[in-house]
This record gives sequence, structure tokens and C-alpha cells, in this order.
Amino acid sequence: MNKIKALIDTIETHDGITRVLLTSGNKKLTAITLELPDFFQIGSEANVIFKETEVGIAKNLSGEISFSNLLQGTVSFVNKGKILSKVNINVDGINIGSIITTNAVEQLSLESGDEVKVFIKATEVSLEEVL
Amino acid sequence: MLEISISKKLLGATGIIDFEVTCNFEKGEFWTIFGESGIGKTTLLRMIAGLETPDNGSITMDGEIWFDSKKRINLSPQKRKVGFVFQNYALFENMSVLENLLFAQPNKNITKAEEILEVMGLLVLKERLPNTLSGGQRQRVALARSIAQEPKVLLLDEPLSALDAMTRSRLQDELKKTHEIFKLASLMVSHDRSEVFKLSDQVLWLKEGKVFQKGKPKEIFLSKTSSSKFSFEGEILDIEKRDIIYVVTIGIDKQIVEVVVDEMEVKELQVGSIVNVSTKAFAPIIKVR
Repeated sequence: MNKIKALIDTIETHDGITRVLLTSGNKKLTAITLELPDFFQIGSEANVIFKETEVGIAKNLSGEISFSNLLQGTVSFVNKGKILSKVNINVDGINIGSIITTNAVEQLSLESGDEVKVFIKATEVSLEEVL
Repeated sequence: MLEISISKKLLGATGIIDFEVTCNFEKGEFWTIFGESGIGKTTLLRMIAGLETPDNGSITMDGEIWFDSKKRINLSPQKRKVGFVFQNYALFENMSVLENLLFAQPNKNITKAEEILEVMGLLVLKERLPNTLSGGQRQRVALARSIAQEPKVLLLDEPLSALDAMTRSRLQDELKKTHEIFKLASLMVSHDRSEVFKLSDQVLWLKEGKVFQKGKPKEIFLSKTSSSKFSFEGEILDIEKRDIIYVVTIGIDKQIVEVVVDEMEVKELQVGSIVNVSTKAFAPIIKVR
């Protein structure tokens, strides 16, 4: 599970659907949820969590993309399996894990030191209270 | 309104429990007493019914004192106006359904007894003997019988837990309807979350003999620390490494599910642990069977 501690900037609710914008360092993050528990308030801290299997990777990306969460980082380590691989990406000192197909790792020829973009759909991002 | 503020030392599974509960139950509200077994849920019902005596405190119904340790008042179960339905309710086997109801009534009134049977869809069975009825029918008669007592409080101790899933679901609907028609204060012991969700207006969640949480089922059961909406409690049955990922097998109620986790996460998990499994409301796929 990937976890990034962030500050809540904006909470926008319409018809029981909530869009939460957060900041962590210079990173902007977005989460879409249904009703939000009361302790999530503007200015309060929250853990932004998402599974490794929900994290996509792009190299030399150009053009536009619909994913709300787009982070820039450097590949620190690739653990290649037969079908699946785990790619660790250093994003401003935070490790983000991504589980993608080994086929994709080879297509992108991903290696340590590669500059990559990491993306996560806003509907796959959960918010957790910082305890 | 039923007002309770009682304490009692109980012998629980892990030693002595200081049972201490204060709660008000409004008429017309359906309450579930929820919690692990052996923490005094049934004892609470028995103390309300007068079948067990608290060490200290008071029980008052609409201003009438049923129990008060300081004033040394302790009404007998017969004087408390409670209806009690157990998991296996003993009906009088040598009496017909109607006679069972009449026996329970304070002033034997056939018209009224038949009215209750009618409302609960049992009138066609009124001449039948209990041993000719199905499990579900017997529990409905048990419920009708406790209503015939004209109780102010209806106490239900896992009344549906011995029934199969389909009968259970149907009886849950009937229980809800009956509660609404007779406008009682109903208190049910249950540890089945979906049952609690379906029936209750309010939940009293007990932990280690104390009130852990009190409120509407949705507020209590939907995850408190995360925004995940698809959330269950389960037990880890197996952890297996496949390729570079781990597959954790988890038993949730009577279902078994598999969840993929990363190697960093698996370090915190072990077989036998009780865990919360959740995902976002956006992810699950629903198919009509």
C-alpha cells in the first residue's frame, strides 16, 4: 500500500460525491470519494493511500492524460517477476511502488535511474485519518 | 422510555468483567445490542427482564421503577411487562397456536389474540400444534406470543440465528414490520452486521462490558478512520507468495476472498489475524444472479 501524508486544500461536494484536493510538498493530489467522514477538514492532515496495482508508469510522456494524480520521480529499483514486476519510484524522497506487468517493464525498458511519470486515478485513491 | 443505568460483575470468558451500561431506549425504536460473545449482551436483556439482578443502579420504564438498588426495589419478571424471544423459544407443545397466545395474555381475549395472529399472517395456523410447524413458523408464533403479553419492551436474544438464510431474511422483514405496528421499544441481541443494519434504528455496541459506541448503524459500521465504503472484517486464513506478489486468503463471514498485497505489506500480516478488508465504493462490480 502506498501512503503519502498530505494536507487537505479543498473539499468540494456535490450530490453526495466529494472531490478532495491535497498538497504534499510540491505535489498536488486528488481523491474522489462518496460521503467524507467529518474529521477530514480543510487544513487537516490525511494519509492518501492507494494500492501498488493501481499505479501506472510512463516514460517520455507527451500529450495530455486524464489521470488527476500525476507525479514525477526516478526509478530506484525494479523487481522483475515472470508475469508481474514491482517498480519502486522515488518521488521527492517518498517511495511509490507500482506493480505492472513484466511485459510493460520491458516495453518501456525501465531501469534504475530512469525519469518517469507516475499516475493514479482519483477514484482509486482512499483517504485515511492520520492517527 | 426505558432508562437503564446498571452495573454488575460478570464472569466472562477472560475473567471478571465490570459490566457497566447506561442507555435510554425510546418507544418505537429498534435497538440492537452488538458485540462479541461473552461480554454480557444476553445478561443485559435478562437484567431488564428481571431474570438477573444488577449489583447497582436502576431500571425505569415510563417513570415506573422496575429496579433500584438504593431504594431496594426489584419487580418480579411478571410485573415488568417485557416480551422475551430466545433463539429456541419453548412453545407449549400440547396447546394450539391460539392457546399459546391466550396463555400469555394478561386478560384472555380471543379477539385480540386473533388480531395479532392476523397482523402477523398466522391466523390460518391458529388451530395447529407447535410440532406441526416449521422452524420459521415457530419463531413467528413465539414472537406473536410475546406480543400477546402486551409488553412495553420486547427483548429478542438472537431470535433468528437458528434459521436458514432465506427464512431468516424473511423473518427479519416481518420482525421489522411487527415492531413498527406495535410501536414497542425493541432490543435485539445480534452479532450479524447485515441483520443489525437491516433492522436497527440504533445500535448499542458493547466491548468488555462497557458501551463502546452508540448510534445509527450507518454511522457506527461504516469505517471510521478511512473514506473506504466497501469494508469488512475478516480473518486471515492463508498467505501465499505468487510471482512477486502475495495473495492473502481471508474468511469474511461465510465467504472466502483473496486479496493481492505487496511484499512490504505482507510483513505486518499473519495467519489468524483479524483484519479489515476495504476497497473504494468505485471498484466493486455488481451482477444480478
